[in-house]
Amino acid sequence: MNLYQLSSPATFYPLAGRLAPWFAGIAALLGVAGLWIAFALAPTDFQQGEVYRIIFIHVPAAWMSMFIYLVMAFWSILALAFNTRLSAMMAQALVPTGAVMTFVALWTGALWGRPTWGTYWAWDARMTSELILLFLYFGVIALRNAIDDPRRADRACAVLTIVGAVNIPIIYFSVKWWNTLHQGASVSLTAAPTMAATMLTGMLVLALAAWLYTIAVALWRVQAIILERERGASWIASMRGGRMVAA
Amino acid sequence: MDRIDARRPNGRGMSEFLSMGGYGMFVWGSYGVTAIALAIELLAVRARRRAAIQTSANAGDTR
Repeated sequence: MNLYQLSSPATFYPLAGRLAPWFAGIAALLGVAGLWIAFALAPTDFQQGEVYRIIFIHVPAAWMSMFIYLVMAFWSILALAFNTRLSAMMAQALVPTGAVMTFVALWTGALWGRPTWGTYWAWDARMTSELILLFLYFGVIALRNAIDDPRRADRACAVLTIVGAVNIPIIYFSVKWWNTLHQGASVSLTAAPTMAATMLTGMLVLALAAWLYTIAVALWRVQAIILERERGASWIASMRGGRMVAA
Repeated sequence: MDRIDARRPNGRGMSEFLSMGGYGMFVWGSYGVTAIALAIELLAVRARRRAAIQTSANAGDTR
């Protein structure tokens, strides 16, 4: 099976159905392990006390909110460059999950900000750019719903997604470029992490869980999108109900 | 102040765990809403997928 065949919805549909439960299962196991580390093993923070435990979902959710958008932009570029249906469907399948992750990052950030900074919200660069990211996800959903022809919607959403990607480095570097209430990165690719090893491990395990969860949900959603959009195609008609579910 | 729980002398009691050092509302508000958000997304995806499969299967039958 080569890449060209794999980019066909008819080939990808059963593959997605086989892979999704595995990603979901491993995500659940890692989620339980991560929560165990987060609550049973990780020590109390000497400055913040127990409230710091919000970090175990806040940081993975914030990472995923940005990463999912970049993956969407990647699929959007492929969709525009090669006019491939499946690329656009993959981008479409990621949007709701990206919005959920962004919402979780903002929500947990607010609940963390109140006891540590004294406010749920501030219009600083990090929080404002993350809020713009949420509106970008909503914008892509709204744009798709506003256009009846799916192929035209693909192109419009791809353009919006790619243009909006400029917001991602702004979010990431906002804590360096501006004087923000939000703290700088505790974990980066260029410097040693400034947190205890157990805390870091818990955060990374839950980040991996969030990553696999995203893949599983996106695969299930892309199956629905494929069926919704390829309705009437002969390969779907030839597939019996049982195979459709199992595959 | 550390109070020793007679039932679990070496561990933290459940109410102490739930109080999260006085930050229970913020910690459990974060984890609870996250769990609800993920549950809603999973249920929505399952419903959408099932509906799509059902519609396609019905279309196949009448073809």
